[in-house]
This record gives sequence, C-alpha cells and structure tokens, in this order.
Amino acid sequence: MTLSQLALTVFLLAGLGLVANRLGVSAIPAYLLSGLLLGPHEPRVTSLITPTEVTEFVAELGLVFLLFFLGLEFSLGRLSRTGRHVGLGGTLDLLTNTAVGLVVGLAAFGLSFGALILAAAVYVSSSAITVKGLIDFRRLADEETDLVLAILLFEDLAIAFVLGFAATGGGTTASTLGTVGKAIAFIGISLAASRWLSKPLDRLLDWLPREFFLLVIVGILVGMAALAKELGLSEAIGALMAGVVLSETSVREEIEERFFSFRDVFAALFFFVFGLSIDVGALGRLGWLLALAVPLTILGKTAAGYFAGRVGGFTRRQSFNAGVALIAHGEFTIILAQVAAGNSRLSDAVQSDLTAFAGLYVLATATVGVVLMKESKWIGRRLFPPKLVSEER
Amino acid sequence: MPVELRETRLPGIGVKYGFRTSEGGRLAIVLHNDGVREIYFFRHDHDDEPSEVIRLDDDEARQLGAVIGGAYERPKIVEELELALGELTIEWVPVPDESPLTGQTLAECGFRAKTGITVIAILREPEPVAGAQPSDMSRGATPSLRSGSSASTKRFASCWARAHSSAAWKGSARGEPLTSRGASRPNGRGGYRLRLTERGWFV
Repeated sequence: MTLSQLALTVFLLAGLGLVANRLGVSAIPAYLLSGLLLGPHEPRVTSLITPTEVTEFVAELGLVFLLFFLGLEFSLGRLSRTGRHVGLGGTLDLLTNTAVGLVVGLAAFGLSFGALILAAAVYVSSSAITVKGLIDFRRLADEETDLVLAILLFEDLAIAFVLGFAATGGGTTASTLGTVGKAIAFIGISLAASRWLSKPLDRLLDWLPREFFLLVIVGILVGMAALAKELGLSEAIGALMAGVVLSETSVREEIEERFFSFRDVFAALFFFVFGLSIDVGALGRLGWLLALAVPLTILGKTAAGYFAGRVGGFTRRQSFNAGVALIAHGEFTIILAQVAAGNSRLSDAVQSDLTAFAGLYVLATATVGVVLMKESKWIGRRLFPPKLVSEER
Repeated sequence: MPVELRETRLPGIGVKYGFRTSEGGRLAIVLHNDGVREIYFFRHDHDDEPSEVIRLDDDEARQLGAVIGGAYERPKIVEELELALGELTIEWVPVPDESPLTGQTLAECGFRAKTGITVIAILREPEPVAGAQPSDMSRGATPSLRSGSSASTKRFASCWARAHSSAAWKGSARGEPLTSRGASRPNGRGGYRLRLTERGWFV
C-alpha cells in the first residue's frame, strides 16, 4: 500500500461514509463496501489495493483501538444499573439467536469449531448501528429503548468470552477447553481489576504529567493486548479488557475525548481492510447460506426482542420495535471473523468462507435492519392495529 | 406537589429523565454523554411518535434551564418556590438596603445555627462572592442564595420574616426583578466551580 493509495482510500472512505450518513444508514457497511470495491477480488476493474503486511498491521491496530473503545463503554456498574431487563431479555436473546446461529453454522461447516464461531457471529447484533438508529429515529424517549440497550450490553459481555478463545481454540477438545478456561480467567481478573483497581489507577493517572498520560494509556492498551496474545488468547480480548479496566476510572471521559478523533479513523480503516478480503465471488458458493441466515436472523432477533418485551411488560408494538432494532449486525460479527481468520487451527477454506460470509452478512443485515428499524412503528401499527373499542374509551 | 421523575441509564448514550405532565402528556429529557440535550414531548402519554423533539447544545440547555427555573423572572404564583436539587433547595433572597441585617457578617446573622440553611454565595457589585465565608458581610442590595432542606428552609423563612417587616421584603422582591444568574461549569478535570455573574446571594 503506497501513500497515494492510502490517500485515495481515505478519501473514498470519507466520501462513502458521508453518503451513508446522508442516507441515514450506518457508515460500517459503507466502509466494508469501499474495501470490497478496491480489494483484489471481484469487481476487478477497481482492484487497486492488495492486502499486504502494511494493511494487516493497520487492521490489527484498528481492531485493538476499536475494541478498546467498546470496552470503555462497557462497565459492570452500567450493566447492573440497567436493571431488570438485562438478565431475562439477554438470556432470551442468547438462547434464541445462538440456536439460529448454530443452525447456520452446522449447515455451513458441519459439527466443528468453525460452526461455533459462525453461531456467535450470527448471534451478536451491532451496538454501533442500533444506537445510531435509536438516536437518528428519535427512539431514545421510548420505553423499549431501555430493553434494547440492556440486551446489547449483555451481548457484548457474552461475545467477550467468545473473543477470548476464537483465535486459538479448535484444536483438540482438551486444548480448546484449556483456552476457554484461560479466557474466562482473563476476563474474570480484568473485571475484578476494574472493580478494585480503579482507585489506585485513578491516583496514578491523575498524578501523571499530561504529556505522558496518552503514552501510559496506550501502554496499558498495547500491554494487555500483547499479554492476552502471549497467553494464547487473542489481542482482541486484551484490548477489550484494557477498556473495561479503565472504564471505571474517573479519567474515562478524558480518554474518550483524547482518543475520539483517532477512533473513527481506526474503525474506518479496520472495516476497510476487512472489506479488502471479502470475496464476492464466494456469493455463488455462499449465496444459499446467506439466503438461509438473513431471514432466520430477522425472524430470530424480532422474536427474541418481542418475547423479551412481552415478558418485561411492554406493549406488543413496543416489543416488536425492540426486536426489530436488534436485526442489524456489524462490528462484533466482523471482529469475530477477523480474529478467527488468524486462527491457524481453522482450515484456509473455513477462514475465507467465514470472512466472506461475515462481510456479506453484515452488508445485508445492516441495510435491511436499519430500513426495518426506521419503519418498525409503521409496520407495528399494521401488525397490531389499535383495538377501536378500547381506543374510544 | 413534587413531580415524579423517572431516571434511566442509557448505556453508551447518557441518562434519560422522564415525567408525565398534568395535562396528560409525557416529557423525556435525554442528557447525552457528549453534552447534547434532547427534549422529547409526547402530546398523549401513549403516543407512538413524539410530537416534538428539541435538540440543544450544552450552553443552550443551561440557558433554557435557567430561564425555566426562574433565574430571571418568576411567575407571581411561584414566587415562593425554589430550585429543588433532590432533598436540597437553592433559593435566592434579595437583601434590601434598609434590612436590619445589612452590614452584619454571615456569622453575626447566624443563619446556619438558627435555621440550618447555608449561604453559599453573595451576588453583589462589583465582585460576587462565590464561596461565602462567615466573615462576609451582607451589605445593602445584595440578594443572596441559600441552600438547605425544606424543613430548614421553612425555619429560615420565619426567622427572616421576624427580622424584616414583611412589607419591605415583599416590596423589594417584587419591585426589583431577579438578576442573579448562577451556573456551575465543569472546571477542567473533575470538580465544579460556581459561576456567578450578577448580584445576589446563593444560600
């Protein structure tokens, strides 16, 4: 990747991102699309950039920063403050959509580790796209929004466990279980650190002269990512947990402010580089799988949100809105595929299928999901018309 | 009649406060983490779509809050009401020139000992006093703001009435429009500083 290629890339990302913004859809599919267009696969006319060590490094850096920010937004305190919806809604969603994911995964790869990763990728909705939709479509004041956000938080925690073992699991059963155990221990220790270490960390970071503040934060971030990788987990889980550890400190807002401008650049580049490796040619091979997965996802997410809402005491239309809001898939699906693509225990065929599927699946669900979300109130009024008698009273 | 305010955390977005209005509508106020405030108004409680959404940046929101809270001018009927902060209330009290308390220090007035209220600021020309000390004087035409629980506020009111003829107190409160403006602003990293721009006492 030369400098002029990078310039072209960044302009294309900004341009397409702007168009997406104008159209009211998330920028994530736009970035993926840019990568897909410029990448070495079809369409070949626009193939300008081939993945190299440079793009790999950019993607890795982007992944680490993206997860760091996701971790910062997550904290145990926030989870407990969202209250009653988390446990019930989150569990209903987990059971329904992991089942859907397993059906898709088994259909694709048979009984294997790849199927498990695919199941997780199909399970986890996009917090970024959904939250943007909730803001853009003026849903923040709606009561069911609390439920949607609680479920998303639950999903983030659930997927953290999968990230832990996605990079190195899949060998023998014993070694996979060992990795899972290490992942659980790593996450547990990090959560404990965020709970108990926040005060001393606070004092240290407060005492630091300003010019070293950023350096130390980057040190903690890269250090934990490296540590996780050395432990045989993935750098992804390390970065995510670095965010979680710092999320309870009082400098969280300052970190977010200072890194804010970086985040969007890194996220854009990450999705772009991932887009480079999507092979549209795989559509012929994976088309049937997508045709199975997308409708099942729409059904599964809507049903899970609907039942979680009904059990939580929401009206039918509110519950329907909650379900539809969860259809869009995005960052975590891509991240999982990226992490699994670095797993040497998965065969090359499985790796490239996972990448292509995740990319195309996100393009599809993110578009359909946002459109459905925008219209869900209208659809809800048609599906559940008001009872005229009770309306007149 | 206190309004029943519902607070909900919106993880990753901010906080939401909501209450029902006496006219059957519903208001929701969202405080975004980035400082933006949004006000959603539903004409009827069970409406699907908000009938109005107002988006304000931080400065606009503070200004709106001050105007609505009565920092400039209060409707006659709520003249006796104060800004309620949870259990505490903040009110500003003009001190007329002819008040017997004029010229006394806060320690000599002994409001805290007698009534439980605390004078938190004195608004006067040329320099407002932000953290009022016991040795600060209540001089002529220096409205003040005070804070305390509702019980101590009541004790303060009766104590104040004994010290002043009620005619003078009412006259001053009505005749001179409230000109105090107070707002707390984030002061760099952590901590808040009270910003007072014009005359008055914060108690």
